[in-house]
Amino acid sequence: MKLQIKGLSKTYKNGVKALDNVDLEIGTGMFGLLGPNGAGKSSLMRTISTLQSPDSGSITFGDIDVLKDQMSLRKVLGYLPQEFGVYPNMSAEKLLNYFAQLKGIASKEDRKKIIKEVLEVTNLWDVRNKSVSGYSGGMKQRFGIAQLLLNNPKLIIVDEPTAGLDPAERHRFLNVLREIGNNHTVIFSTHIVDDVRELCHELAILNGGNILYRGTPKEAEESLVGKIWMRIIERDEFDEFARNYNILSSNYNQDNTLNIRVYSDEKPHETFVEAKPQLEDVYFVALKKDRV
Amino acid sequence: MLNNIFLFETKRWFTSWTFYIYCTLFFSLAFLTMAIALGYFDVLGTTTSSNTYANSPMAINGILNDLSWLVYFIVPTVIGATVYRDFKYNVHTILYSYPFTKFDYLVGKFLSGFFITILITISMGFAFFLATILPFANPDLIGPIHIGAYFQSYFLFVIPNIFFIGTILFALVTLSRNVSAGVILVFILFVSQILISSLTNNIDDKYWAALFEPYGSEALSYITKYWTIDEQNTNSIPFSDIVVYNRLIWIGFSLLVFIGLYFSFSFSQSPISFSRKKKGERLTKNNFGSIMKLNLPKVNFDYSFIQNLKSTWNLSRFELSSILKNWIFITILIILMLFVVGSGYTLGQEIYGSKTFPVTWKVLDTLDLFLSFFVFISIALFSGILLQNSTTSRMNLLVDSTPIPNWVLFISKVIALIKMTVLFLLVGMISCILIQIFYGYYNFEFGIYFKSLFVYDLIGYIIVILFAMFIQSLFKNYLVGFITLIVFMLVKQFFFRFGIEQQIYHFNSGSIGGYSDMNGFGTTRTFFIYKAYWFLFTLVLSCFTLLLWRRGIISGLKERLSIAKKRLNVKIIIPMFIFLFGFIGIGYAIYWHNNIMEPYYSAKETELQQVEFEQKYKKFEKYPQPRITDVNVEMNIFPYEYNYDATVKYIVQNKSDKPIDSIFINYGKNLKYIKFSKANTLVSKDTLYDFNIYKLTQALQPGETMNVEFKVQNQPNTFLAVRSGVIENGTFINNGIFPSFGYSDGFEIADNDVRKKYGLPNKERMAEVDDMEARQNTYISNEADWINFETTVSTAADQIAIAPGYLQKEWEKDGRKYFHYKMDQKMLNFYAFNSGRYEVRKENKDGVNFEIYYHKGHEVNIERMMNAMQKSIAYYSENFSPYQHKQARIIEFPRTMGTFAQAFANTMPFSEGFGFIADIDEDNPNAVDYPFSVVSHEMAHQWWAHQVIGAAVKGATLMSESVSEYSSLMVLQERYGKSQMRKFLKDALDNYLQGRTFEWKSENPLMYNENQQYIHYNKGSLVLYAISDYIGEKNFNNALKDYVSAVAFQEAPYTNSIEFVRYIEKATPDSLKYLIKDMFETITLYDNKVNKVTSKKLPNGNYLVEIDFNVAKYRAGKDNKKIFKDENGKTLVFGSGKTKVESLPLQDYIEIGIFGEPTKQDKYELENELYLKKYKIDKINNKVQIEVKEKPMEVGVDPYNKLIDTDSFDNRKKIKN
Repeated sequence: MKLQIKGLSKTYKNGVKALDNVDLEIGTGMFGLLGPNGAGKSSLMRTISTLQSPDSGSITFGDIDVLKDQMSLRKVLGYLPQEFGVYPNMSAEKLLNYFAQLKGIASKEDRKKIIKEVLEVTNLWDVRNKSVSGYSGGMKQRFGIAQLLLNNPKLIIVDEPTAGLDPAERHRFLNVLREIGNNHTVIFSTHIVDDVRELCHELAILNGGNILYRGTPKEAEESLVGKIWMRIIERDEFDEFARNYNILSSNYNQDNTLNIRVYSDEKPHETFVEAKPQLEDVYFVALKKDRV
Repeated sequence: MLNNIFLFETKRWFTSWTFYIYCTLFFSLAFLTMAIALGYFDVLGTTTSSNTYANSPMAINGILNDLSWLVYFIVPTVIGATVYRDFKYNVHTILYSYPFTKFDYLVGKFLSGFFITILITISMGFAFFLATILPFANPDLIGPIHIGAYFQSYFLFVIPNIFFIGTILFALVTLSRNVSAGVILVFILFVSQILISSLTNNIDDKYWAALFEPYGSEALSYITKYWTIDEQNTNSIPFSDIVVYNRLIWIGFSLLVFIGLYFSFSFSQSPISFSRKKKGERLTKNNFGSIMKLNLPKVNFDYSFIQNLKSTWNLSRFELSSILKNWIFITILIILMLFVVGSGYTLGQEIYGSKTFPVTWKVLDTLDLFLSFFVFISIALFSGILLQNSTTSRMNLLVDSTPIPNWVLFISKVIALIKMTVLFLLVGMISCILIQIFYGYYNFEFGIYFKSLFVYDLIGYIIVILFAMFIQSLFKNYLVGFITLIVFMLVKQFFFRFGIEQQIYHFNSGSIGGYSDMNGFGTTRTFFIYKAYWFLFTLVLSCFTLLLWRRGIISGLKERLSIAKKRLNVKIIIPMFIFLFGFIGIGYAIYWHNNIMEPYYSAKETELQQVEFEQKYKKFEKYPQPRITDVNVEMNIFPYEYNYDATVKYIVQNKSDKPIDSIFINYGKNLKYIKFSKANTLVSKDTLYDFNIYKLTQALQPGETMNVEFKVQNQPNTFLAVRSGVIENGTFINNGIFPSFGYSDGFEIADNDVRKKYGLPNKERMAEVDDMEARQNTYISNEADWINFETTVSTAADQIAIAPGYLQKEWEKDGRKYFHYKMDQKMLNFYAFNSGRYEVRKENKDGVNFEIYYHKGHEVNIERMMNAMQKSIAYYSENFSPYQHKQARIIEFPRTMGTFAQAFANTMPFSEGFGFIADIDEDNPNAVDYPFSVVSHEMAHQWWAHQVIGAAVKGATLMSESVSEYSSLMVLQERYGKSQMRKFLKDALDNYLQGRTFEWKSENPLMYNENQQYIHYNKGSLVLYAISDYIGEKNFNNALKDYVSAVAFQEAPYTNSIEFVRYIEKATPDSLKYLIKDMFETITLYDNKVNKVTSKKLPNGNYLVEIDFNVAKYRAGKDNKKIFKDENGKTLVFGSGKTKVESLPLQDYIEIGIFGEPTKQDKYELENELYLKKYKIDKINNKVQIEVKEKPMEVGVDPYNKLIDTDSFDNRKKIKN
């Protein structure tokens, strides 16, 4: 099933253009939505999830007209917002039972069965009787995945799920997502480039409500072969380099020198060496171009 | 630093819009309240009138303190939350590292909140002041302006009370960090204040209550309880000891609370929590890098309508559990239960200290006081909490993206609220049953509980729930919704003043008349129609609730409306229109019924009609009219159809000395026809005022008689209302439904202020005592003297119908029962018809038939009533005159028609609401056997009304009500001895003194009273008992006997109080003649007091008691001003300065009593009177020495309160040994 977005626009009351004529087509598999904070990722995802109405445009998922027939989409939707809470003092099992009912699982046995499975998948079985409001950040995110899975969704939307997770939690979380992504459409937004590289076979870069790039991570990296250059400079030289070259990123080394990466169609200077393009470079190039 | 904190906080308030909203809100509310009291809106509604000034110091203080309660509800946010706010916005982590002390911080914060609250309340005072000086007020309602009164009220009550409430809330919210906790506390304080005042109502000496009631209102009423109208209007707020002590106690208490907070508050603390800390547990992670396979089991998804309905029910359980876990809910529930049980403790002791059995309707009435209030606030609060539930816990996006329809969420919340309400009702019912068990009453009528609570009450609550959901859905913040709902309910109360009178405009109108053992809940059709109307209304609102349902992220009103528009599809439009049409349909039917089928007259229009009626027809008042001499009524009562009709034949006679050519008939809408045996023409017909004038072709000559025949039939009952007054079981209608002859002044406006407005002359309630024209009529009827009476009453086959007279014949025809009654001698033109399914108790004693017609199950006091009838007849026959009848009957009637008893000739209807269910403890000296005394009173009326009847002039009820009270006291005393007298007289004194503070015209002396109950019952019983005590029972009764034999069954002119008092005066020795003047002719009050008492044991074993006491009396002049000088300008003075006592000159006999150790009788203590003697007193301060044989414990001056004394507590003093 394909998710098709056409001409989607949304302007908030305060004048911010969150979505600006977005066209996007997303097929089965993991799809990464990359963009800085405030790029419009959440707006896009909430709009797809029927939680927000756009000013114009259309969204279809398979043959569901999402904006008209919200209920049909909700039946196949699994959504995990960027930030959420739960009713206080309520165990995971109870809450999942609640969600299972909201999601239309009629029989008690069915609910029991699926709740057990999702709790095991997310490794929450042992703490199923603990109140969710007392969970750690990672556990809570996993709970979010658990509730999302209850209706065996065809379209899964997860909004910045890895923010604030420790490395182990993050890995675990991404593994679960990848597993789900095998036969569903998963849209996954993040501002962490690594997440996308590890997980997604397709991505889009979003900024200021516009899609800046759309393709596979591999294509993206290949498109920059021979255009990324790097060298080591002193801290004091940075301003001068910044003036003369198109610096994409700079990292400090242990000895207080800087590693800079520069985007240029040809070797900018003999002191630079060619570098293997990384997804991060694609991201920065896209953002830089957008600014110009 | 304190300064900085204070200024910073205060500045913050001044720049915040909430401060201005609060000020505006309270200003408007106060202005409105005062404006209504001052008659600003008289153009819209009826004329406001009162003889108290709305701006007297007491009145200002009263409303100011009442309205302050509303201010207290914002105190949790204004004072309570100042510290909490720092936590909420996480400023405290930064703030608390700044260099200021705890003292600066707490005091600065508190003072600024305190200061802001005071400013808000000052807006109310300002509003009052403004309302009194603007030119829209009715000047009669405004007294002189007392600026000082505002200051007094603020400094004595308002500000100290804010300080008290403020410190408690400041401490509570600061420590618990929960504003809701504060709001709930205010609720608790509010309701407990109501409870305190109802609990203390039954305490005799309220000194301790006055001292320890936190708001000072008990203390104030302790001083001002018996203030007369004049005192209420002119006196300033008394700055007396008890008020000051009370204030100091509570300011001190508040300071202690503050100090307590100071020591328990710490900058680094976490909020106080009452739950136990769980055992610590170390958490480790072991979920590294595992890879699993996702294989979700196959489950079935069901999105069908049926499944949605099931989910609705299941989800409602989930929603309900979130209410049940909420500690605000738990608190409210527990408090409700405490209150109901607490108020049950005082249940039914209201009638002369005797208890009433806690029958189901009685405990339900008690419950209702609190229940409706608690349920309403819970619905208003939890409708919002449930609506915002997922948003508050930030789970809304998860919920909103599931395929659950909005209506499922909506209805599940509604059901949860209904379940919550049911829980309240259950708890209420259990509390009621606990009360009944507490009193050892085990007749649990679950059917009544169920119907009353779970049918009638619940329907009303469901309407409130749907309404509250709608209001709450408009707001994002549920506290705003909550306050909106509360304000809506408050404003609703004012509708009437703005001329919005009809039930159709009053949200959730329609009520059940109340339960009666005899008649059940009565007809419920009006209730159900109105409820259906409002239910449909709230269903329409619910459609809007659904359209406006918040789902997902909505950026503003515009988007909300556009979403609502998108949702507008057939599925919602069709039901919405069905509900709307239903609502409009029923609404129109009600409107048609009340306005078009018959014209509706607003209260204002009625007032104008009263004026017009008087202007048009009063000129006919003095035209002589024929008088009824014979009455024959054929009355048909149809209890199960709620109908009656009656064909009535009168013989009327011209008793005047002039020919009568015009007949004036005043009738009701029930008149079918009226015929006269003499030829006549209808010369004036007025169907607006139902007043017709017939001209006789040949005048009715003096002494000539004529036959009159007419038929009345109730207006047909409609779908909405029963309009006959007939009920299924226990119908009780009197001859007021028949047309009457001549102009009757009963429809005239009585209030002189209102009369002045319309240019009508001042009017007295009754004619002057020696008005010979008025003395042509009895005060019972102005169209007849004594009549011959005969009637046939028919009713349903299973009922008994009763009317005055002796049963001649009883038969059955066409499935109906007929009773033919005939009175064997003349009686007053005053009779009633009763019909019901009665049990009958009959006894014959000394040739008199005694009968009691009662409802099955109400047997408990039948013996007592029987006994009272017989004892009464014995006493009255011996002391006054023979009983004129050969039967005496008591007939029970439903409490829904009133709680009273009435005496017709040998027939006495008696409400089921009191005597029949009284729980009398004959041994308790402090509880009067009131079924006994009420029966004796009604029996006494057979003499004092049905033999001796006063003219329709002032003082007439002295010879009926007062003497009947006296007579019943004598029978009671004969039966129980003196012990019950004290309780009876004490209550009579209290009721009299309180009654005069509510007098709306002017208080008259007893012999000129104008049918004022507090005078003719309460003062009358005191005065006649005292006179009889002073001049001797036998002597006094002989005077009555002479009087009866002189005036019984007389024709016009009828006797008046002057004649009556003359007989008593004749029997009174010269030395006591002053009593006649003090007690009958003037309003005289004593202020007697024991100052000091000592006792010492004498060598002979006796005790010598020395009593120092004051006797003082004054007369109440115009507006009850105190007068201490007699006609000759003489007066007595004792002491000076603050202890100065003034008095009229004295030549009075005052009783001095000494009491010993109380004697025991079972569980009760009886007073042990060692000495009682009247002393002649001629000066204020007196000392006596008395020798008694037993050890004295207590002494008293006028210890039995025979005299009218403004402070009866200081009449007695315990002896300190």
